[in-house]
Amino acid sequence: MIPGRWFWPAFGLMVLLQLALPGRMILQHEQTLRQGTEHRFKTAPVDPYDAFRGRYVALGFPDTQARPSAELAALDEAERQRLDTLYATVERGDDGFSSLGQLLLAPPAQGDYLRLPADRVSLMPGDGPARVDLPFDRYYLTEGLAPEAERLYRERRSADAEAGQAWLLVRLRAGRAVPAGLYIDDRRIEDLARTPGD
Amino acid sequence: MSDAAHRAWLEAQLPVLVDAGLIDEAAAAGIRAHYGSPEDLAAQRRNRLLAIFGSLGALLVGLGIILLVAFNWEQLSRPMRTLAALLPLVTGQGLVAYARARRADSTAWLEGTALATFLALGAAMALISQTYQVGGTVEGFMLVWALLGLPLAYVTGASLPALGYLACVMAWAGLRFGAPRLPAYSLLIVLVLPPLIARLRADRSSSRGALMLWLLTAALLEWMALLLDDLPQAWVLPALAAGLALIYLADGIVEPRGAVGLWHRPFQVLGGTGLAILGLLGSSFGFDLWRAAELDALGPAQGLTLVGLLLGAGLLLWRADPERRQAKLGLGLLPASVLLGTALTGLGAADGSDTGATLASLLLNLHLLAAGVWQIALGTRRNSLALANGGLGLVLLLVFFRFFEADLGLIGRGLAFIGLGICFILANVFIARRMRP
Repeated sequence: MIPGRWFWPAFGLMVLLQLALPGRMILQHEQTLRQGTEHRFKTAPVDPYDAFRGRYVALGFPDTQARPSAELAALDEAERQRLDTLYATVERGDDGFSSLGQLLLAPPAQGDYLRLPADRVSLMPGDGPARVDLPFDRYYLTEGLAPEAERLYRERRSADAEAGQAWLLVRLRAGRAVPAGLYIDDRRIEDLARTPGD
Repeated sequence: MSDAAHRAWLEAQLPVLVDAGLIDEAAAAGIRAHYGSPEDLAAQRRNRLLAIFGSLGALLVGLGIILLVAFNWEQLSRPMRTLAALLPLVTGQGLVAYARARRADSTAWLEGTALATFLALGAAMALISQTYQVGGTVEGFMLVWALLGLPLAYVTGASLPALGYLACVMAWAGLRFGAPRLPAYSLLIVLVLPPLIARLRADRSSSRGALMLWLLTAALLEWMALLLDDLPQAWVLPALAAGLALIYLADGIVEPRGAVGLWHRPFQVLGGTGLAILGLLGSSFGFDLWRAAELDALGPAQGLTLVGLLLGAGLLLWRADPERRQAKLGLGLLPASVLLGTALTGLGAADGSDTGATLASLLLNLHLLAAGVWQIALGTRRNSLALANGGLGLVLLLVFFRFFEADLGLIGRGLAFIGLGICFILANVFIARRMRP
């Protein structure tokens, strides 16, 4: 134990540290949810479990490729290995769904973008399209709803090729993405799982 | 016999000794004071029970909160969930402060509040992740939890947050196992050593001390597995044997001295068991342990790892006091035989034959047999049943494995068993002659 008079300053520091990180997370995510731009990403949910954080649907995305910028494509293998963070622009298509555009070494001057740790990006040799492991890969639901959500998605998908379209609503701000809702056929998954017939 | 039973026996004996004139009342009072009064013992027992139940209570409440959090209360608004996430943490921190200010002498309060805060920290992070749909892997979550919880071990001096930290770090390394994690893992283990060592110095012989030693041994084993992950296949066996021998021989430095049970000797138990299993697998003529062992060249770091482990084990054996050295000689020298076996296999593999592997297995058989017999002889000489039984166990396991080995012909096995039997009879005669007055 930290002795005598040093205990209280050390205790204060510990409390600050233990509250600062969760506090910072809360603040950043709240700001993104309140002020971020809305984007929709097509997705496919499946239902796994995390012993600590509970039941969630894991999200798979059909289109996660991004084109490397000229500067990025020109880097040799050793320089690519040293990369720490990359930035992917997010572009909204005519169908209303968003996808990744260009992969950059620095944040773009304008438009929405995602900040990506380099280990979430698989670069191809030269200027081949890179595969991106999107940072929003799970959506938490209550214990009963998660398996129900996956079942509904599969049922609707197999019944009709046009139905069962799942998409994730994401809010983007300053490179940070916070999922704001998971939808199947334009209905929020929580509502759909509770009243599937409506 | 428990402490209480010892104390009751002593209490009954003291008046008898006084009546017999062997000691006087003053000496009897002195002995009573030295071993503590029955009331002192009862108080100690009560405190220990309080500490155990307090810690268990905190553990259960903390785990319960994590499960409640994992349910995902979607009916609650975001601010409410944020509050629900931080409330147990702030309460835990407040209780830690209270324990320090008002209950500084109570282990139950100290350990219980520190553990509850550690668990509340995990619950808070989990609920915030859930509320804001934060992605990321389980192992990443465990690492952040461990690092944020570590200050609790330093500030409170409690052992349970240090153990929680160690468990989280081990899970982090184990969930995505691989040599690249070695530097970070090493640093993470070093970070928890100061509070852990301080606690171990204070009460190495207690159950808590034993728990700390077991987890520390497990962490060391995982560290060694990460270290060996990078070595070419042929060199893994000698490095593993040396690493296990290091753990087996380090017991004299880390574990409590005196007559304590195996529960207090994880270094000896895990290191010794690991060496015995490795030796038994290596002694098998049918098991593929020695196959595919061309001696690939080692890189500088890999060579240094292997030499370091071998020299470390050798140094510990050499520096041990003579009595311990003798007792640990059999298994402690196993890395030397495994190294020789590796060299024999490698040389044989270069010629494309299995002769080297067969010789290596034979060598390990001889080594384990000699180690077992040596230990039985030593145990007999020192009147140590534990030592003699350990040696006997080793020999019996060796015999058992060879008897059921289908790859050896019946005639070969028969001859080997007869030879072994003669060796035992000769050893028996030798020991009996030595013990004759």
